[in-house]
Amino acid sequence: MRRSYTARRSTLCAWVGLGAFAIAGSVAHAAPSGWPQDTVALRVPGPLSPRNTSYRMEARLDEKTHEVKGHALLLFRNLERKEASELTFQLYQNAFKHHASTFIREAGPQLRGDEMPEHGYGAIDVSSIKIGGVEQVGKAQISDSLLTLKLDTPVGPGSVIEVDLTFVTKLPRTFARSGYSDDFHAVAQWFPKLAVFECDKSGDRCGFRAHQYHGFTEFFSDHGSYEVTVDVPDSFVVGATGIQVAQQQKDGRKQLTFRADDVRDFSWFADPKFVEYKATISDNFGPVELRVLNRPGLQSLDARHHAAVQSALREGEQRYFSYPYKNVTVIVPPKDSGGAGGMEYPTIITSFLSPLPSGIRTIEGVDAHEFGHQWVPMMVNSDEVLDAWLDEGLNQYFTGQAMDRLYPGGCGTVNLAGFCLGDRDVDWLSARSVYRRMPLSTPSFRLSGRTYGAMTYAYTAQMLRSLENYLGPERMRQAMRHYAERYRFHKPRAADFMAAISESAGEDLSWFWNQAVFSTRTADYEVMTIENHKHELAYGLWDCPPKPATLPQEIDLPENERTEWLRQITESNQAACQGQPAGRHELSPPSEKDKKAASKSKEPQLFDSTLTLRRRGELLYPIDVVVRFEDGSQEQLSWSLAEQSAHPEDRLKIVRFYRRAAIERAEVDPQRKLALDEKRINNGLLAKPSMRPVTRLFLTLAGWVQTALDLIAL
Amino acid sequence: MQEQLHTKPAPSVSSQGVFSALQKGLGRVQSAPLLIIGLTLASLFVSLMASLPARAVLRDALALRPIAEKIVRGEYDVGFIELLSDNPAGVTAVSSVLVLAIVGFVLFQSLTAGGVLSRLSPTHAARFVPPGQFLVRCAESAMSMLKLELLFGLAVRTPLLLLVAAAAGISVGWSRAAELSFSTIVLRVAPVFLTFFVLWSIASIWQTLARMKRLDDVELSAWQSLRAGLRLFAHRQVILGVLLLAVLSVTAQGGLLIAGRMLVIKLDAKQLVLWAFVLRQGISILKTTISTLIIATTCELADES
Repeated sequence: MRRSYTARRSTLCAWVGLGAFAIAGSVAHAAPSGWPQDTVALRVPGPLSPRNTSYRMEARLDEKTHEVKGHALLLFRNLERKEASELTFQLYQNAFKHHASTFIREAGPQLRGDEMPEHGYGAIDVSSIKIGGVEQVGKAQISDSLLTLKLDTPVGPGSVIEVDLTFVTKLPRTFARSGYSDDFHAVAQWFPKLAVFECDKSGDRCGFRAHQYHGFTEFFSDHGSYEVTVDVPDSFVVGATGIQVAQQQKDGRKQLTFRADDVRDFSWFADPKFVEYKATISDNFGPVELRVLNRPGLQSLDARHHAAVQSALREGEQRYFSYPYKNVTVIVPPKDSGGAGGMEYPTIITSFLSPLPSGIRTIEGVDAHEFGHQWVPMMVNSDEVLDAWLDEGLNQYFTGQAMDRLYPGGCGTVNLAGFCLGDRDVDWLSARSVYRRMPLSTPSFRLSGRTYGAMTYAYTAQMLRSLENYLGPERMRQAMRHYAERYRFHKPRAADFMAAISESAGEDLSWFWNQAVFSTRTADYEVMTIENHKHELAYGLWDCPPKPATLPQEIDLPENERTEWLRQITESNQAACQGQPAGRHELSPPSEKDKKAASKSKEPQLFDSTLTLRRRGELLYPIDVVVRFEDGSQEQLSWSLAEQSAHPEDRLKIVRFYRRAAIERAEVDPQRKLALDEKRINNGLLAKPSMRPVTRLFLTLAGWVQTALDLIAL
Repeated sequence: MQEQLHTKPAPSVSSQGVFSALQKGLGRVQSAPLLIIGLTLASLFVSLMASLPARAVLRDALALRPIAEKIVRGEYDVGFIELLSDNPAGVTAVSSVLVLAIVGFVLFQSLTAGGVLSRLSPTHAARFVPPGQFLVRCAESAMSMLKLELLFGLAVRTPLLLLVAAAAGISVGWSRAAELSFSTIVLRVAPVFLTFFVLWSIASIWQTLARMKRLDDVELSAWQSLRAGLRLFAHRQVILGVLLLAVLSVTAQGGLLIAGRMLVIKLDAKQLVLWAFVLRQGISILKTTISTLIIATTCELADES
């Protein structure tokens, strides 16, 4: 049942406890204590956010025309020190209004390979904006997907304004995160949503941080409370942000009321074909109700959705902070609405269909990723348009951790027929595919689609893994938690993230950020050459009796090598002088015959070995080196950051060894700490070629070919 | 010969007759071990030759890289992808050679088909040749067999492939396949593919019959040989035998493929690559034996009818 406007107003008054303010319907200067304080939709004490942008809405879905007729009462409280003289709303469905929109100009009529359907346009029309009962819509100025309204009376600091909006949203055919196909409706970005009012750090310059709906990035808004009544046909199953608090039925339709607190958006999905799966995930803070609204016939996959969300929930609570909401809903869109899949909204996420075998873990990966967004940016409210990596990148890094929890062993993406790929592998492959064409600090709308995806998701994840390997897992975990806790329900920028991590780590990490975020430096270290020469120290002219050996400082040798060298010289000198009178004596190399005899003896020979390491990229990172010798001994070296920074133009590091064994192999970064390393195969080098693995691969390939030939003969 | 086929009364149908033909066919296969080994070696030779360019690429890319051991041991699968993406020219060259090898092997098969069929025919048949005449028969029949192969590929194999693609599509519901789970898709397409394999095998037997007819009558064109081969299916004994042989072929070849694959994976996992290779050769010999047994039995059945 759709309630009257008066009834709605009355409910609102009770809801906010601002009777006089609401009745007057004008700009009020209410005390913050009058703001909704209850925690109906939370499982932890609240409020968690300032709730300065709250809505009470009614929405009626016309399932035939795919339009949503809506009415919204917005309560906006100005938290800044300066007044707001205008209001800016996001009308994001206008992104699909025509081909001249910002969105379509930037992304083309496609997103993530999903083409915009023909005749699938969408739009949002605001027919009424009332403030204090006075119609204002005539003053509104619309620019693409933004609406700006000059206020007769500015909203002063700490003041509250009530805005009454009436609108109709025509959903597009499913494309770019929302829309309809058949009876499926993904109702997202469907109401005029107030942008974020803020002042700069000095407090002098204030305004709305309002972005057009850009081609690749998503949404940014303030937190608030939402009470939304959704009116749909009886047969429809609805999943929405928040929890359902009321339901009524009349004339073949039903009205479901949802309540959500401390969220930055509200979206809902309706489809009569949804098949519901319910479960409870418990943790230290109580139960979280999980609801999967799946496609018919795919119930066997519910357990996979469940496992993925559970893993992400546990990982998120360990990495960030407790999940404060009472529920989470997973929506599985139909095939025709794939464009609505893989998306996050507060307490509700969308997954993908996957007809692939369970060893290809697309479902789990998408669910874990989208659920991870509940923290970043749903609660740690970063701005994807300006700092896309702070949103998708941090979450991609988190996704790897959640998938590791679910599938320990590093095969989180693919584990099929003996083939194993983890999230780190996939991110690495993706990051190197469009390697650093633009700095990570570039705003998202200046990037192309492919560059955006690889940089913001994969590159950032690999960058954070490199940082984790530098700091150590525990310091990194603490640093990420420090950032998340400090900025939960706040609006951090990239600088805030970097400062928080550095602060927690107790270390100036500007060397890392400058290279990884603000530059296009690439990373690639390799073992360039290994040279082994038999060193016959004993031959030559020796002065007897022997004198203490010296070694010029210019010969750059590790201390133990220097000691060995001096010992060898001393021994050679002593051997040459044995039984000889004082004076100069020559010790000549043995004849060929003696040489052959010597080579058969087990007496180890001395080798003069040179190892050349090369930094092919420009990015500097402390690098470990492991050198293995033919006698089985091993040497650990480092190519420190200080050493590299002192001479950044030096691309080579040459290490010399004098040993009774030649170098057998050497490897830079054996633990792959530098996750940004562009090439990995060149990290190691053998002194002599080994054909064994080559022959094995060759025989395996020949076997496959032979099997194929045998099959032809069937 | 064709007249004979039409006038000769159909023999009595019994599975005993089919098994008897199978027994005789087996006897002839046993008497031609060199042929089996030769055909197996041919496939081995083609496989090794086709893989040689890959060996060169692998040697250049991996011989000096310690990580190659990990890649081989299956501990670093992403290394394969790095290897492929960093060596696009090598990958193109290797793929081209592999495709050429497969095409070449098909051509080789068709060029030698006349000799193989003659060698496996009953000794009393006119087309039979002793081992010493094998290569001569191959050379004599090469062009006609090649024409037949091309016609058969166009007229039978290609439509069959299109048919199975369509049937598989229909079985999973074409555009709605994405909304099915993997297990549902497998359950739906499995019968389609099983049927396809049997039909494919029947087609191979039909091709053998067509080749027989062509060898028996050098005046026949490829098209006429194809029709004459098909007409042999009119005999109930032949059709029953063909069905049995097709099922036998699919079962035996499929069983060998699956069992062989499982064993090879186990050996590979234990790094016994050489043993895996040897096992593959054993399996290849068995597969060739089955293929030749089917040819010999087909000859027996057709000649009896």
